[in-house]
Amino acid sequence: MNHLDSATIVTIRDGGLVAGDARLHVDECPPCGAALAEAHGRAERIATALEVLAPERPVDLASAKAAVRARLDRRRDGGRRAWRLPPALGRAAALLVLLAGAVYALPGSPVRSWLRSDSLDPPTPVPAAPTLSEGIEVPVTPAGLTISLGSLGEGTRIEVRWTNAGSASIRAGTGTRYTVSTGRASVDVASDPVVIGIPRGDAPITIEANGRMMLRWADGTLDVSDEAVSQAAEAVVFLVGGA
Amino acid sequence: MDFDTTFDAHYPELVRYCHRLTGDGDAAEDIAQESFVRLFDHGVEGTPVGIRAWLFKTATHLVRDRYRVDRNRKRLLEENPVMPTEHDSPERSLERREARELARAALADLVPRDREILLMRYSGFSYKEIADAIDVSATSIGTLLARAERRFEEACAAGEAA
Repeated sequence: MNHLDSATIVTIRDGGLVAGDARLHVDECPPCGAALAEAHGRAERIATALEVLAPERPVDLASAKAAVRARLDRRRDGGRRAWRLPPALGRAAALLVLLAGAVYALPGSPVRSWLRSDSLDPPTPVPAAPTLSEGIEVPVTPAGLTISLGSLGEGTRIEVRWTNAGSASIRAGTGTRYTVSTGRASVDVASDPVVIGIPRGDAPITIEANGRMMLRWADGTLDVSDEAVSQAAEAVVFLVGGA
Repeated sequence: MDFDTTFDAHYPELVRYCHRLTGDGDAAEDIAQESFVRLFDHGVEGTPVGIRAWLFKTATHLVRDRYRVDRNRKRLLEENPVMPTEHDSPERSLERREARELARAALADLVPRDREILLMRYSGFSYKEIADAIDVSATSIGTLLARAERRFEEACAAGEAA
């Protein structure tokens, strides 16, 4: 039998599952026995090295529990309270509307002049949203589609949404270049965000980013890479780790 | 599942794991607390061993999410201030500080997956639990762990030589 590799040695050291003859071998082979002893020594050294990385301050269990309970309460109450106006504030708002209406009805009311369009201040400019190119629509055949995104910088946001359309749509920042061939769309991304719509259907769809698989939908199974930062029924969002 | 029992059993260890993973005490506590919030909010049930594995897996993913685009992670791992304990002599304090900086720098040199495998293994998790937490097959953990250990020791040795 050949000498055992480092993975098997480490697995034996940690009591993991290996073939029975590997354990016998390590008992009978001096080099492998020495490798196992070295692996034990390495484990002790690493444990010692990591031991110094304890938190600088002792854990305050009581404060931590209180913080967790407060967060739980906020989370559980948040949904119910989110859009409800306090009753007193609601009554005050209704009264203000009635009052404004009454004053507007008076001849020469200042409310009338405020509401005249020529007396209004120009609208405050709103910061422009990130400009997306018009993008492309790519038909999805039963053979499937691979969308390959390239030139993605670290932290590029990719949002993938399921749609009821019969084709896939891809949009990214202005200057992005698209190349489409049968069953494949290659995208040279100029800037983010990248927004991809993919149809709900049986056709397999793969999305790659910088050559790495981000998402694969095939045979009713969805696989996403660990670069997904959120995943819901209608969308998956990725932040790319860089080229 | 009793809140206090579960919290007392797992919170300190989870904070220690998150602290090793991030190098940031505040982030470690925040992530550990968020893991517990999700545990109780989702009504997760299981054995203490299963609950522990669930918490570590959740914390691992929260750390990944938080630091995925945070370029400060390496700086935090390397520069987190060291507070000497009141019992340490100045010499002992300096030794601990150097050992801590060396270990932090070595961890910072690892790729995230190697760091997670190493820290979970040295927190006492089985190969199967680690595999489940970081979404790789259990049979590959031996290979990945051996590589992570080798890289960690190489980084420590390089740090000592520098």
